[in-house]
Amino acid sequence: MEGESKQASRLWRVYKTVHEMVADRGYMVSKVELEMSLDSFKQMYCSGGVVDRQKLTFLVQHSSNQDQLLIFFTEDETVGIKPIRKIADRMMNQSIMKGILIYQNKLTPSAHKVIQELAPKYQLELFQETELLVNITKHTLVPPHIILDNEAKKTLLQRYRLKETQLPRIMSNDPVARYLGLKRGQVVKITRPSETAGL
Amino acid sequence: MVKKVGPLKIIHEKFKKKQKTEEEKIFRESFQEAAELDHWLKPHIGKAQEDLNPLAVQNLLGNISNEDCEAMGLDSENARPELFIWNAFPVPPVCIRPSVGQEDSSTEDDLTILVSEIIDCNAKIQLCMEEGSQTTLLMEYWDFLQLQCAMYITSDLPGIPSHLQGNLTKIKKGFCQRLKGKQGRFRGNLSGKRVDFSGRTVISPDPNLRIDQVAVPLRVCKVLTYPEVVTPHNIERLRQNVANGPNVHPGATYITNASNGMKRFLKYGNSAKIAENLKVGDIVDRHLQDDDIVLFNRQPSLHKLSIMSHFVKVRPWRTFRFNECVCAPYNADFDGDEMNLHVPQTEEARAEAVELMGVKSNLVTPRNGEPLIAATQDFITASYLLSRKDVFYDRSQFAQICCYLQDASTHIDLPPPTIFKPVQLWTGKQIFSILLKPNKSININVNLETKCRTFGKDEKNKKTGVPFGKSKMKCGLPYDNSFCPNDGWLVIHNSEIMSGVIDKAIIGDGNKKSMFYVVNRDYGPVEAANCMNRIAKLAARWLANQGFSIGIDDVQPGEKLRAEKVKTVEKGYSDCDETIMLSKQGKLPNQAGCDEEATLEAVLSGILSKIRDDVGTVCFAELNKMNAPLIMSLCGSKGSKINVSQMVACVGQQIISGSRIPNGFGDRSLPHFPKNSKTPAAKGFVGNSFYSGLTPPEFLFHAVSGREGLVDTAVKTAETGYMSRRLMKALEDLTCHYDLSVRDSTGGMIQFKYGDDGLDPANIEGDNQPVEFTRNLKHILAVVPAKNDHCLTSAELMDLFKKQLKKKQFENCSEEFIKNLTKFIKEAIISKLDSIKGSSKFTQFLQFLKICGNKYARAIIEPGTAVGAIGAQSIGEPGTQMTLKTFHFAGVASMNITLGVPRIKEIINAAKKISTPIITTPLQSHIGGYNVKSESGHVSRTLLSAETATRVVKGRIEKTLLEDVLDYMQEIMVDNEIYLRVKVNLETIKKLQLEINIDLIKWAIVRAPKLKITDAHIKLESMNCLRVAVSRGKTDSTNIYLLLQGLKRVLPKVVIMGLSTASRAVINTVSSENRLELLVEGYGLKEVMGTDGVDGLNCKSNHVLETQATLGIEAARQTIINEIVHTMSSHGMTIDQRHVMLLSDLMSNKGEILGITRFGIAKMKDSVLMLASFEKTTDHLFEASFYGKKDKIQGVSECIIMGVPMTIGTGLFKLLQNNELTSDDKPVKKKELLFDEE
Repeated sequence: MEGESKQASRLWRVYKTVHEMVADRGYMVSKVELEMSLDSFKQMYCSGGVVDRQKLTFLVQHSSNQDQLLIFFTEDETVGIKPIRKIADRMMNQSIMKGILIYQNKLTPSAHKVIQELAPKYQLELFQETELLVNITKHTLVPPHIILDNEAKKTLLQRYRLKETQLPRIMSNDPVARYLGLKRGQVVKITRPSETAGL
Repeated sequence: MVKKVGPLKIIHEKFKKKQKTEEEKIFRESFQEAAELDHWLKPHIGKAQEDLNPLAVQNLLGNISNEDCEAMGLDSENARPELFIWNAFPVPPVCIRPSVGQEDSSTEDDLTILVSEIIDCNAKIQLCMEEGSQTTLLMEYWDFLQLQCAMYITSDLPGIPSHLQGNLTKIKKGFCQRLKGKQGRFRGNLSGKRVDFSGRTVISPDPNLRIDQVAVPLRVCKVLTYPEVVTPHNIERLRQNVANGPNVHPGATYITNASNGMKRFLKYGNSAKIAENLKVGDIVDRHLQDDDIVLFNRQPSLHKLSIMSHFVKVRPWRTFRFNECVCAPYNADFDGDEMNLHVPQTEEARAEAVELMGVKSNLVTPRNGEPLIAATQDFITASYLLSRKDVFYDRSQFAQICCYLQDASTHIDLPPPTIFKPVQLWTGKQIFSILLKPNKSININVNLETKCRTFGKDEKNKKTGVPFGKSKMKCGLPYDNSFCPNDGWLVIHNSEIMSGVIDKAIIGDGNKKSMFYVVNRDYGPVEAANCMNRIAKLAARWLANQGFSIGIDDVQPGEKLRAEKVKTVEKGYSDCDETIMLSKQGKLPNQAGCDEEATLEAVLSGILSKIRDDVGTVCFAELNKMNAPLIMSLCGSKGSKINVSQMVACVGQQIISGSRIPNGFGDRSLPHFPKNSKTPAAKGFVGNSFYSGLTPPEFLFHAVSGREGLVDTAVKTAETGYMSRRLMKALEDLTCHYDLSVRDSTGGMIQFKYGDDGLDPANIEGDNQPVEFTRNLKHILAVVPAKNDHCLTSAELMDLFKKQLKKKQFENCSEEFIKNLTKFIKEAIISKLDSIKGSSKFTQFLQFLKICGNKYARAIIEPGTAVGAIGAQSIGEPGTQMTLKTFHFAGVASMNITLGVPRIKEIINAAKKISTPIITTPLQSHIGGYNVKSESGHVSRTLLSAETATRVVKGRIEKTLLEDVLDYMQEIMVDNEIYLRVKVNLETIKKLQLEINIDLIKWAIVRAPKLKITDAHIKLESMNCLRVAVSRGKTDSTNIYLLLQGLKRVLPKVVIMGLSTASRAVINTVSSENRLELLVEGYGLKEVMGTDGVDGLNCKSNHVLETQATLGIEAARQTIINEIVHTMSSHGMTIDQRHVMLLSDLMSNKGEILGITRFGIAKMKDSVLMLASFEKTTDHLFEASFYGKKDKIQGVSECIIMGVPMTIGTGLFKLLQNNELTSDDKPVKKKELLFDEE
């Protein structure tokens, strides 16, 4: 059916964006996954026209430290407590601290609560599928954001004699901040194109 | 639950619960005695609740522990909650509430009256308690007392019970009212104060004054004084002043003795003797005299150029007078305008005034760097007349005109005459050469090549009919621009005018290629001002002799013009009739996105506006070359082409809110016309001219449209005024610091480098760069002699350039500047070198680079500049010039977007709901692109196939309702079934290219919100037919027929495809890039971006908040910039990028887009005084006192309120002194106060 191939192509776009996102965060992602074409995607994950979301779930390893990140896809249109618990269990079992949950439609309020309870130890980030259809960091209006390490942040603050609070801010729920998985206290360097001063 | 009852009472509903508690029992029992005495009470006891009287509340609050206070964010030391309950009644001193004495009675202040009433009421209560009168009476007094005390604080309490209202003395102003509002303490007395040493009177023009002078009437000079300290250098002059006393002009009013600080009034006493005793160090308050510095201002002060400092020229009579060139910054005319004058009272203030606010330092506006002070009106007319090709003077006449230039103060070198034989004749153009450079010692060499207002490439040769731009010389080369038949190409070479007339483009304002601007940039503002002084004198004096006037014969159309006009109008009318006929027959093809009516209107207004244009063109061709209105509109001094043709030929179509005059009279505009008439005359086309006179209907239409303009202006001024105020409050404390970063008063970083490159918008010469390379190179080539320099080859030149770039002067330049410079040198110099071998000379090239470097260095913004305030003004000020309600077309005729003040307001307010949200949606190239040439060279796709593909994507986005594809809907009631049969038109679906089938429609209905139709209710009858049964809950007892009717009403509105937020999508052809794109009206950027076939990475919405939500704060910031720039530029207004950038950086500084509204500003700033002086004064004060807030007095508003110098501009830096106290030195002891104990 036409609708199903549409589903597949949607998920393929999400799949690609997620991999790009994870790669941008410094996790190791193979080139094959980044450049997967729609056909090979269908071959791998499409069984009988329907995409098996469970199969899409994957685990990545950070390139410079021991962090692991688990990415989940859910079957249900509205995600309740149960699948969340299941995910939490898996994270606990494999002792993975970070996870990303990609849901189709929405989360129930109680599910949100469960995630908040997990929060300090197990961090589960949420994304809706529609958000990931397009990789927003590649959008013409979005300039590159680069996370500064502590050293660079210190130099920046010293160079301009600033306190942390005096820097321009970005919200933690800003789409780009969520894409990069920014945490409170991190500083990003944004290089804007400029009509007056060039890039 | 604690409840508020009435305006002031609070009760605690402790006992509302069902279960009875011990506490309640005790409470109820406490009424027993009362109930025994008054048996009426008994039935009400059950309803009694605990009354929280002030005493009880105070006890409750007092019991809050200090720790809890901290937890609630209260200051446990200075602002404990119980302190907010008054135990003592504050009575302000009498100066706060003065009594106004009249003859024998006196009127007391509102507060005094209220205080006396409160005392009175207290006395009554005391009496009641002593005498033991009725409780009801006592309670009433008590309530009344409470109310009066509340009124003491704020007099506009809501919900005062009516039984108390009767005997309540209405006072107008409580404490709150004294603080609030424009006239209140904060805005009326603290942020702005009344001043001494100021004057106000009517203004009038005087071209004989320098542009930086103001003529002050003698009698004003005698009142305004300046305290001058006596020095050995000025003692004689001041002695004379003192001797003259206060009534003779260069006199003095007061003298302050240096030794004892005594101030003496000079009106009385022996002034001669006082003058005798004048000593060095005394201070003399002397009259204003020539060349004193004063500030001159006209309201509304919309930008910094509305207050400038001038030099005084003492003159007789009663008006302030100044040079007309300075009208533009003040926006002044002389139809009765008044202006204000202030005298700075210290040398420091004078120095700052003359350097920062002087007229000469403000020749250009910081809004975009264009000149604002320039020749106007008569000066332009005179220059134009004088500089025409047919103006020749003999020696005496020419010398005479040269003498007009100035007051015999400058030597003038008479140039050689243009014509020697048979008589020596000089041209008018030579006057301007002299004006720029009167003699050899004045080294001003202007080099400029630009087009005048009259330059026309399309100007047709009268004999051949070939336009100038296309005509060729005999040798086949095109004519040089300076051969323009209108003499419209100005060439000035080393201050000598070679060709061109002097009109508005050359000496007027708002043009970076004007003569004065070039002088200003290359030789400094002093020389530019001198030139302007000369032109003012010249024009006024020359025109006074020449004469220039307008009469009735100037607007009389000639025979030919009249005939031509009648012909054009009749042709237009018949065209209109034809179109209307076509439309009636339904033969008029619809325009894209328009229905029949809209198409007809569009076509008709096209025809009608063409009538006026055509008539106008004829009119310009036919009028005499010496016709005064024609001359004025040609040279740009006053009036437009339309103004002239309205007077002479045809007034044209009258328009209300963007369309022709609407039908306000049933189905017609006036009863003079048949119903539903669409003819030009019935819809407000005025065929007559002001000269021929308007018919009564025409007159009415013209008045209607004129009225709209007036209303617009009135609304606009109020609206933009408020907008400016908000902008100013938000941006006032942003300053540029020594590292060129922009920070607010608390040190928060707004921009790391002002405008990304740290340049001053006032010093921007070219396109966002401080140097206009082409002109500067020409200037250097003309000014610097090549001498015997060796010629450079292109390689040598490049080497030299690279070496120079490494030098210090280019160290701080922005990359963009270097890039542009390199590009220019490659294109304009090196590429030409190859064709003409080695023509560039060593010194000239070095000189050019030096000038570029110097101009860049000079353009760097000065640390301390109030960039925020300037930015706010630059955005707020043009608002007044924008016509309020304007809609423009975005390529597609049927697509409107809001522009003008409403749009700017939306952006600045960060409005959630905007009137025309539009998502520009480019498509993937294999869908939207057409005529794409593949590598093999053949065209792969046609426009048609692209359009078909685009339509599919359009269907995916645009909201499609069930009714759009519906054939019919049928109610069917059979025995045990009641349902709706829905028949869908498959043909329509196919035509609309919708990817939908009956199954999807079914699911759309199931998914539709609030319908509660499930899968089970719908049956598929056939490929185009659905059967929808009525859903009905088990408990639902409503008539099933009604339910059916309800269903029938809502079902057609079900969205079966597309985004419910996208109301419309229109296909737009971007012909320059050979592609189609969609313009989606509505919200839902995220969904549109995700749609198949859409190029999601290039989608843009004009809705700032939506962009923030989908693409993040950076994209939102860019959207703000783009939208403001787009809105301004579509009104023909240029604003420097840097101002807009600063605004959007501020709005996005906190991580979310904050609007410039009271809510946004409250989030941006934390100073209470600043917020209180903005809006909601008392709310902010109450909150501040509640939380015990502190204000560090750092921002501009706070400093003004407290009367301390602010940390902006010259107050930016502080001097720190090395404190060399050694440990042996005794520490400074704190001074003991009189009332300190021990």
